[in-house]
Amino acid sequence: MTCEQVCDALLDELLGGAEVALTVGTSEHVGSCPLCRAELNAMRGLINRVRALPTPLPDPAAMAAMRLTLLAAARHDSSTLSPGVKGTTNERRKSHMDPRLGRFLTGAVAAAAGALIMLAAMRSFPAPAQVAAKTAGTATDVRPQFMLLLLDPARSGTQSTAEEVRRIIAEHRAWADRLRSEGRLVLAEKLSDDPGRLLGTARASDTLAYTPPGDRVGGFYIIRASDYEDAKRVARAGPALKFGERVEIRQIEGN
Amino acid sequence: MLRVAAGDGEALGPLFDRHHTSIYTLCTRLSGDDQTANDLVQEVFLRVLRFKESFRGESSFRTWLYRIAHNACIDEQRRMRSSREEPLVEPDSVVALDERREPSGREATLDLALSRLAPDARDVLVMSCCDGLTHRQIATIVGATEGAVRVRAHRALRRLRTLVQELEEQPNDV
Repeated sequence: MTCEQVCDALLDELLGGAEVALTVGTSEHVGSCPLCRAELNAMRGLINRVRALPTPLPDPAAMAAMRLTLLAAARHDSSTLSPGVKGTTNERRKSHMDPRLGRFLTGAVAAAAGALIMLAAMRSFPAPAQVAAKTAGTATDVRPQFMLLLLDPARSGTQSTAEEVRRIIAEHRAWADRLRSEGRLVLAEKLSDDPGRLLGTARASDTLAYTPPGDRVGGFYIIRASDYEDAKRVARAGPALKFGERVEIRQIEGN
Repeated sequence: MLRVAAGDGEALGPLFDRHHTSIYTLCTRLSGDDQTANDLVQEVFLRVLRFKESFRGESSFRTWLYRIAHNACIDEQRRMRSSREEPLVEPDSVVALDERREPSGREATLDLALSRLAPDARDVLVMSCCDGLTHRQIATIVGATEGAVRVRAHRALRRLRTLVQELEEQPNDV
């Protein structure tokens, strides 16, 4: 048995887990060959170092938000295709939430969830356009859903006072409550104020959430409305336009 | 998983609870970025929904899930290669991967060395060393033969040792 063969067998033993065991011949070779013994010790040390690296753990708030999004996608999937009903492959594919939208929603919801947890702990809401309203809409409501993206105006160098911020937040909350009482509100969240990340600007298909610098999405509402005109009426009645935000309205496909 | 495959959407919740941490950990190690890993975790579970009917129990659910995660990571790597990333604002606050990972100790050096491995080498090494998967399981996940995985793992470990030695001999060369 050559040293090279022995080294391969050693690596198998170190990396292959329980399925590979050193043969008697390999063990005897290692016992008598200082070079192979040194190789074994070096590789074992390196593997132990890799195993000792910290384990990356997910952010619980982000995962909780993602769980909600996934369950919503799963419910949507099972409601459109009940177990006994077979659709075509294309129909089954269509029944799922667009992954790009899913990613966007999860990112947005996760960012908002994290921010809200922190803000709740601080018992203050330092950013404008803050909304903390959740869910409404009934299972029998068949109206389409629209996303109202609140686009913050470009920073002009002037900062809102604390009193102004409180007033903006209060108006958004009141409006969200009103939408909920009307059975329109599905979800409303404020996004984190951090810079965020923009991916794939080279291709139009990757620019789902792209907004030019200075027009950042500060938060969003998902509402039920009969059509775009209805959604526009709802948006105009909200506080966003009054406070200088622009509102982009997009219908959510499949709802 | 069989309940999910049968159309019980609620059953995805317990699956997510049980496996999302290990999938996040794997995706972070393979992508080298925690934000990307967040996206990938969601993509993985969306693919579970999309391809639920393809799970036939021939391999364990964990192996099947890891295969989906591995494919999602490869797709993301391809997508990143074909596009570019830029920050929404404050470009000065975003640093390159290597700058962000400037080694300050043995652990950081090893982390940097791992990030410099070829993706297919890193994948095999991570799944073997960190997840304790056997060559046979990894072969199923990456869609290769057991022998190919074995060779890839050996080369990856030797390459890693070389990279670590180079970095430790030149601690300021980053």
